Amino acid sequence: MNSNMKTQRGIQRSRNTFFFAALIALGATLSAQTDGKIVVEAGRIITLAGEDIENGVIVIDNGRITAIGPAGEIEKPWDAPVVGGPAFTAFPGFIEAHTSSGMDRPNENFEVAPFLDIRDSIDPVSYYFEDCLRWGITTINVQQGAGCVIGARGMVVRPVGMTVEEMMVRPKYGLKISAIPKRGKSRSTQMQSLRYAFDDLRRYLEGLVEKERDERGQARREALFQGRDVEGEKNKGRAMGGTAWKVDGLEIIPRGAIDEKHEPLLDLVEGRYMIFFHCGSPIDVPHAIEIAETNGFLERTVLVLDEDCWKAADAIAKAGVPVILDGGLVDQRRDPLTGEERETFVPEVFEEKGITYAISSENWNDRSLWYQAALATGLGLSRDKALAAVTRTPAEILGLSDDVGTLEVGKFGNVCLFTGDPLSVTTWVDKVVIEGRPVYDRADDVRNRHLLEGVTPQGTAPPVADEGDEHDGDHEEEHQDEDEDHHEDKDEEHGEEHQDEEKEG
Amino acid sequence: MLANLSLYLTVLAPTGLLAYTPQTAGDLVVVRAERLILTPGNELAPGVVLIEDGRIVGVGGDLATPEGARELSGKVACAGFIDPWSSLGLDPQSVRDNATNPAVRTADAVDPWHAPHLRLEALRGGVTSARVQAGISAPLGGIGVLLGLSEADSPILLEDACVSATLGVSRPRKVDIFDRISEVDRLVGLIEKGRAYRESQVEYNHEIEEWEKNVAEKEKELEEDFKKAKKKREKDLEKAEEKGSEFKEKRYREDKKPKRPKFDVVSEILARVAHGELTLVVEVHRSAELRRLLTNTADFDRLRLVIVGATEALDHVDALAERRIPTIVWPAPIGDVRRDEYSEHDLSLAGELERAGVLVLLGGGGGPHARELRMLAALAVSQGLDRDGALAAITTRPARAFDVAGRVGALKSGMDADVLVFDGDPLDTTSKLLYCLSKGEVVVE
Amino acid sequence: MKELSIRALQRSATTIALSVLATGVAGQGADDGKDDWTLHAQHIYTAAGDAIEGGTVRVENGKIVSVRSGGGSGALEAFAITPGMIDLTPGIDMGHVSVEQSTEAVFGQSAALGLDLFSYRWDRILKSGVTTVMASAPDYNVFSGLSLCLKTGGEKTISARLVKQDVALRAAVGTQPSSGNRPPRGSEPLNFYFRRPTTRMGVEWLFRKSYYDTISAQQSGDSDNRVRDDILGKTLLGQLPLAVKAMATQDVRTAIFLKEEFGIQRMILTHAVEAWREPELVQRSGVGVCLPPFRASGRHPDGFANDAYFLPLQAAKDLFDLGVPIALSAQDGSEAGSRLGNQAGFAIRGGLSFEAALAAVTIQPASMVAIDETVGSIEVGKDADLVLWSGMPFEPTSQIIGVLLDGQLVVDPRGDSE
Repeated sequence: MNSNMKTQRGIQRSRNTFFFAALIALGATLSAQTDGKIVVEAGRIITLAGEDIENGVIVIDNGRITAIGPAGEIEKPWDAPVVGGPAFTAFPGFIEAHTSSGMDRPNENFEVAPFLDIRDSIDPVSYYFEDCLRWGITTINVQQGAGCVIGARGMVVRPVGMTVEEMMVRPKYGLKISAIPKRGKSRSTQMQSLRYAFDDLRRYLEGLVEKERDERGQARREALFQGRDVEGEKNKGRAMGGTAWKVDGLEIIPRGAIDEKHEPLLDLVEGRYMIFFHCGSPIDVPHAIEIAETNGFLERTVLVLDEDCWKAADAIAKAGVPVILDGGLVDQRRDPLTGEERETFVPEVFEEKGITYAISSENWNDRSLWYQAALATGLGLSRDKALAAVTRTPAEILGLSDDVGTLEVGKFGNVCLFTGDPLSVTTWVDKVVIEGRPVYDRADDVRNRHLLEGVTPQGTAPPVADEGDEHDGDHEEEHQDEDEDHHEDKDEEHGEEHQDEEKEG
Repeated sequence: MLANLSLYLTVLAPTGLLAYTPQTAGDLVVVRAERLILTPGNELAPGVVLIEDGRIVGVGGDLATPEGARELSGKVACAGFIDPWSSLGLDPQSVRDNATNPAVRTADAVDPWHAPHLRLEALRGGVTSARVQAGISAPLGGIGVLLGLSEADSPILLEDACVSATLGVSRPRKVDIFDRISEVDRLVGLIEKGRAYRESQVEYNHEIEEWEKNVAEKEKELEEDFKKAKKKREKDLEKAEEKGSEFKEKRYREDKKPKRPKFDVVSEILARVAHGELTLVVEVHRSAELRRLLTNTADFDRLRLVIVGATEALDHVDALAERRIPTIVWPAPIGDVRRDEYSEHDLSLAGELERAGVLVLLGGGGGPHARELRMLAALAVSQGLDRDGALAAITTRPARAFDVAGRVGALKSGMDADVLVFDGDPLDTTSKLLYCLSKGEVVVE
Repeated sequence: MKELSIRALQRSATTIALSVLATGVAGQGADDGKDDWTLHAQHIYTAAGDAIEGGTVRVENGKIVSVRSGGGSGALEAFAITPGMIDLTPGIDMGHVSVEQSTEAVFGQSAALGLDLFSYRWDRILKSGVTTVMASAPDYNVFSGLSLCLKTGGEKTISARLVKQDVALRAAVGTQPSSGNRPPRGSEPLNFYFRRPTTRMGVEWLFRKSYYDTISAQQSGDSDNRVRDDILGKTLLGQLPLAVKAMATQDVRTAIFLKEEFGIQRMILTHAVEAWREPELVQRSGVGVCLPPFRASGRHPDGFANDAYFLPLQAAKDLFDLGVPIALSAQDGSEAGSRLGNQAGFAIRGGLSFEAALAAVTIQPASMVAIDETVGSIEVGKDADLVLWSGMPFEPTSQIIGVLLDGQLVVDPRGDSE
């Protein structure tokens, strides 16, 4: 094992060397213009807010779009650099609605850890953010993984920056809750932990209030006894907000006196956080809705769904919450009785029920949002809807519509220049501008050359160790020296039959 | 709770059982049978059951069929079977979870999307309700649930049905006898702790009432004496100033507020068990543990105990009979998987227990299959169990043991319309189930 | 009284499964005759020359009878038609249960013996547009027996689906064949796992020994294994190709050196992740290369060696430009986005031309295993295996809307197919 660890560190070092070499190339462009003023020209601008613009121009100043239209109609500021050209297609950056990538580790051992913040876990040097630029994703909502009961606070980031602060678009954004059992638990014990977390909060707060009231009562009696004048005690806190249960008298407790373990939970119950509630199977959906409703944060809840949660679409429609589709686009199931295969195109189910949905590439890191949108089009979603599901809709769901999602005056100057139509397999992202700063140019993308051609540039070591697939928990894919190998088919895992057949005992 | 029910309504809609021909509730159904078994041993021949809106509204020897009613007829009709030892309809991971405790709710493990075909199979076997348990092999399981098996309004009949425990089941088999005995002591100790917890809560409530009363009185007194006290204080202050000495406030003493007993979620629930508000279901097979369990629980006068498994219960029939402890037996044919290889398992167990006066119930062994219940009952009859007793063992007795006797288990006016119609005696394995009604809807035909 | 019998349903599961695929069975054969079709598309990519713009294909009795431009509309319409695709390393093997355990060098057994035609995987592959596959035993042995080519749909018997028996001898170099073996440790010396190669070089040794023994037997006339001699002899004569799994660069080199050393005439390298690293060697050796699926990270882990190999997107183009015959494969990928059509898309993304990508999933794999007389292109006389697309083939925005196999409509482009 030791030699493995050493190799890992060695790999880490060479990987970092490689990345830094790449970054220097990128960084050159970064430092060249730092004031967020730029003009983008393109043979076609897909605004996603109306008709496409032929031969258009986008003017960005101070990081925001100040003008956008056909070249003849727009006045270009004389002092702004120009990028792009008639060969390109301009497109608003894709928005990753939810991911746990880009972190040191996506999961924490604590079950209930809302006092943690993933800003301490995001790794700016991670390949994931580099890949985002390469595939045109310019806004990313990073949240903890699903291996928790109540997880850490997340944040919205841009995929550029050497420090977390530089990457930050919205800090302390959203809290992760998981209905999927944490490792070692089953659904019933997971639900128990969830309920208990809130019961515990309530008891804690009631305890604080009771203690304070007792102390005040005693102080008053003491003053009365001693003949001192009783001063009215000022309430140093805030009454409990929220739409569900309340603790009477919370205003007498200064908020600072609430310990840091419970404070974020209280904020959660008062509806101050967006909640990303992860559901792994249809039964998780009513559970999630129940917990959210009982504790007053249903209005701020977004469900993050794995493939087969579409079966619970009716419950979702009734609750009126938006969803982020985290699994594959197609749910393939076999009927255990007839052996018949059934394929369900998941976005269509939500489309029909009128549920707001965004497509996420979390489980498909391999191909990213453009590919998801392209596949969705092929599977029957209209092009407009497919594109919306990876741009406008995630912006809406995340509450960032004022800043991102389309190319319109007033929004962030986040523009991707494609070499052709964004959904074609022959198209590449050529340049990326984030808030008016050019942050990516394919010509300088060292690693992309490696991925495309297999060429390792001189002076760098090939990036051997990759992020690989996401871990939900920290298990390593060990291949034992066994005579038999299991082709653990995904359907067999989901297959209802096998588990039931064994009698208890 | 209400939220739960309505969610289940919307949630169960797309499950799509194979043989489903749903009729809207509110339909009138009339069941006619040559033999109507109201409860085992109490029959009408012929008999008619009138069902409206999912409930039985009339039972009689002869009733006219009202207009618009659907008529079903057969040779024998009886109440839907109840399997009191099952894990049907639950998410399998929760069933196998051995880290449960009574604060875990089996209602959270009820998964309508998981293996709906098994529920259909159960209905085709005539089983319309089941007692299910998360953590069925755990030392302390979650709070069990009485589950209705159709897709009607609310699948859950009773959300807090019982607390379950197992003795000698969850641990590896080669464990010596003192360890096994200590499991019993541990369980009983926890119940005792629950009882003590409740007592301390009651005591606390008294004390706090007392204390608050005193404090209120005292406060009133102090308020009345305040002016005097204030004047005295000012005088003392002046005196101290003149003298140049330090002024000390009078010391105030009052009785300390009684401390609330620390919240313990498990003890809360076990307190309810100790006081008979929740049934305690214990799976135990071997004689030594059973004896100790019976002895140690005799002190809890209100504890309601149900024994499950009871493989070696023949040594303790007296205690079981005397205390009318419902005993759930799984009459599995020889060769089936045993939970406990050290015990014998004989089909005649059910019959022998009943003859000794024990209240015998029959269950499916805790698996996700309930379709064989009728056949198991027939097997038990062939080995000596009384016929009526066998039928009662899967209808009225489980209903009574788990507090749903007002809703299921018999054909009486006012009860849920869970009715089975056979073309022969239900315990005759060659009889075919013609119709199965669950909550008034024909779910199998 | 309706009697619902689950058992009856299970018995007729086949029928149900098939009828689900062929929705609109009643409406089949809108033309004269039951399985005769006229298909029309804006682009017909035949894989046998230039594309035909606005043409029709006529199918009768399971064969293609005419391909021409013009012709108006037909019963079945599509944006584009391509030949049914061919995958030489599909994900349909049955895992370890079909691996011969008594020896690492299995020659005479056909992979047909270990196939389960009732597996749902066949339907999936068929619906993804792959109409012919080469079925092989899993590569846990150095030599794994004879592979066969069969159609992915139709009656569930080998004989009904057979395209060609014994198309190749399957072999593997690298770590997988030795992965299940342990060196002797402690007692149990009689366990037969101990006697087999446990390293890469052991695998190569067994490979070489088999050929050496065969050649010795040919020279001396004395043989200890006539089946082996017969089959290996055929590979030496060029009558039977050798399909070798060779993932890493060193495996590719090993396979090619062995080819050259013994004079194996025809060789196909499969799962060849790093064949691109030895371009000159691969080119001069004349081997055909079957590539694995492309991954965005380029990284292909090798679970058996606790290692990973790299495949850049441009590998297909680079090998093609050198004149190396290439085929693409989806391997185990059966989800939307990972199917064979998508792999062709990625190859195009890496720079391969559309025509070359089309060939790499149709006529090239067919010719590698010598079944190109019956399948692999849209030409008169060949089997009517056709795929209908809603847009440009291999683009992720396109969908396969129809599949014909042996003239049978298995995915219907008209109306709902879900």
